[in-house]
Amino acid sequence: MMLFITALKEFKRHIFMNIVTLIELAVSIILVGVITTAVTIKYKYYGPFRDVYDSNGIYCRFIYAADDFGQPEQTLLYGEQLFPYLSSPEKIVCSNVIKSFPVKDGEFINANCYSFNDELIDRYTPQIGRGRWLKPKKDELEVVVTENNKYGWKKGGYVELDDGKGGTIKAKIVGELKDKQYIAGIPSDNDGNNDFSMFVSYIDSKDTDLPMLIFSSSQLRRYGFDGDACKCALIEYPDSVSGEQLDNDMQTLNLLGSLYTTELKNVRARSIDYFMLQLSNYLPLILVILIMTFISSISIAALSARQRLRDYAIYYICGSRWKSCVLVNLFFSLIISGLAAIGAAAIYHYIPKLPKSVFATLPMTIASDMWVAISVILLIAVYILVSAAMPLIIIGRNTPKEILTGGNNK
Amino acid sequence: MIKINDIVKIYNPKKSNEFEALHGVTCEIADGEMVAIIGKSGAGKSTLLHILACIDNFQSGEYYIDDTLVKDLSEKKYAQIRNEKIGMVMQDFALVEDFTALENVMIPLNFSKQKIKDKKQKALEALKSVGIEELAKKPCSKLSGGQKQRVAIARAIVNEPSMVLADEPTGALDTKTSAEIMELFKKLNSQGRTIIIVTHDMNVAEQCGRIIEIGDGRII
Ligand SMILES: Nc1ncnc2c1ncn2[C@@H]1O[C@H](COP(=O)(O)OP(=O)(O)OP(=O)(O)O)[C@@H](O)[C@H]1O
Ligand SMILES: [Mg+2]
Repeated sequence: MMLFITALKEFKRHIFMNIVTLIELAVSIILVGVITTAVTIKYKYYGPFRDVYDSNGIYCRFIYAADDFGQPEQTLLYGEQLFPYLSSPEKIVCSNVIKSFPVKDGEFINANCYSFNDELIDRYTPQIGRGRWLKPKKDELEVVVTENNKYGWKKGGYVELDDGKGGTIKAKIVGELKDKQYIAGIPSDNDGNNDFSMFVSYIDSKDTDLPMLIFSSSQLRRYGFDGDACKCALIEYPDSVSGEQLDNDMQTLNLLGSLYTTELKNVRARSIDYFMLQLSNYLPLILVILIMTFISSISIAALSARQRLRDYAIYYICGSRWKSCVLVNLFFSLIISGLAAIGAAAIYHYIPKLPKSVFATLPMTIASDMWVAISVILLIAVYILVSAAMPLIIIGRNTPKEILTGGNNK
Repeated sequence: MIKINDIVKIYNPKKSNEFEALHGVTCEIADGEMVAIIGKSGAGKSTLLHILACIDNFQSGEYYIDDTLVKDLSEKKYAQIRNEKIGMVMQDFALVEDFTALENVMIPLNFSKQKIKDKKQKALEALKSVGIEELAKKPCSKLSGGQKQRVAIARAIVNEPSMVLADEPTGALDTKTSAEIMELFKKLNSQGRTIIIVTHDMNVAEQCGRIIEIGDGRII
């Protein structure tokens, strides 16, 4: 406690220099957060499916129009129903589009209805505003809907879905999907990218006023519903599958109505290219910030180390332990980093309140994920290491007496 | 009472610049004594004082404070001895320049193991006893040499140690101020504290009760 108070006093003593350090560190934290976010934000659409992308297999995207103009009857197969047509698929991660409409007050209404299979639901959770993501194991049929939708569907309410056999089934709304987010499992039509982004699409209420509904396909099956058709899928094969078999299966999928079919290894290669590109774009920036923090904290520490050491030597004579002085220094660095982290949080919180134009060009978002945490902790660790280790290095060579009497034993 | 027995101090042992500064120093100083340590420059006076103050080690010999052997103790124990038993006045005052006089005097109280109520009051009393109570709020960088020396002495006595050690306390001061500082030491001595002063000023030495002369690392 005494040490902590001493460290606080140290902070107060060189308040100006310390505030400069603090601001610098806070800004570095924000920059590192922003950049890390930029590098890694898309990884959450790849990471959960990595095991599949890493295996032999096929990506396919079917086209299915709700008004069904002239597609062959076969396209109306849901994901698992594709298996008998294929040589030796192992598993399928897929979304299906639901052909029938929700019913409200006895009338059909329009909405984008999907069903996700368990492999997809278990691997990936979209951002949910209120409520939770689907739990296919539950008995009751569940659905998530986009938040603030025009039909007034809310968490806790029910959606009625035409069962295609003259009746309806009721699904409980367990969660509300956040607006303006990328959702994995819903295909985008940028097949040209040929990377993970084919399996991801952006939902924004500005683009369509049709709400999106996502069901669990396994729950639908238990309710005897089969009116959904595969929308897009990652199909995994065992390692033993031959190139020929894959070729054949891709042909088959095309015949079944797949509009775009490609091997997963291509998708993996292109995705890795994408992440490498992101990394090579931003990594130098992160390194520059790290090095700048390193250099500036070294120079500030070097500037004050001599004086601080003298002060610590005085404390030593007055009855402090030399080790405690090291601790004071450590606490001191901790206080600065703690305050800088708080400062960074405050600044980050304040950014959205600034006029839009100021930051329009910058992607000022910081994700609260593992990657950001790792890089911010890394930054702070560099700072603490440098600023606390600096006097330590000197302490290691001089005794307090030598520091005070200028005695040299070099 | 302190007692040193055959103390040998070697600087930079086992290195090319190895130097034996004390070659077996033995002496005893009773409680309440006022002792001057004199000798030529480089004789080893400061070296001896630093050993007495527990801020430097030594290679062989024994050092007793009140019959406890001060050797190979834990760092914690040494810190406690420096804090409670010894008041040290360094040659260049060793004040934290941007602390006020009061803050400097409070340092030993802050590192004390004892629960001290009213540290500020205690520090103020120490400043009063060296006659610069009114300078309490002044940063040390703004004080004169004599005033700094008083702050250093106030800091040395604030924890009421049994002995006060001072290295050249008058070295940097003019004659008049030196006399005042010596008066102060005599006053502290009359209150029962052991005072050990390193000096090469005979004038100063003669005001002490006993003179120990060191020459070339030995007592003569
Ligand atoms: N850190 C050190 N490393 C090596 N030699 C040292 C060190 N400190 C002191 N000495 C040497 O030890 C001897 C005694 O030094 P000390 O400082 O005790 O002398 P002193 O009697 O206090 O002299 P002065 O009157 O000049 O202060 C000197 O020869 C000095 O050069
Ligand atoms: Mg000396």
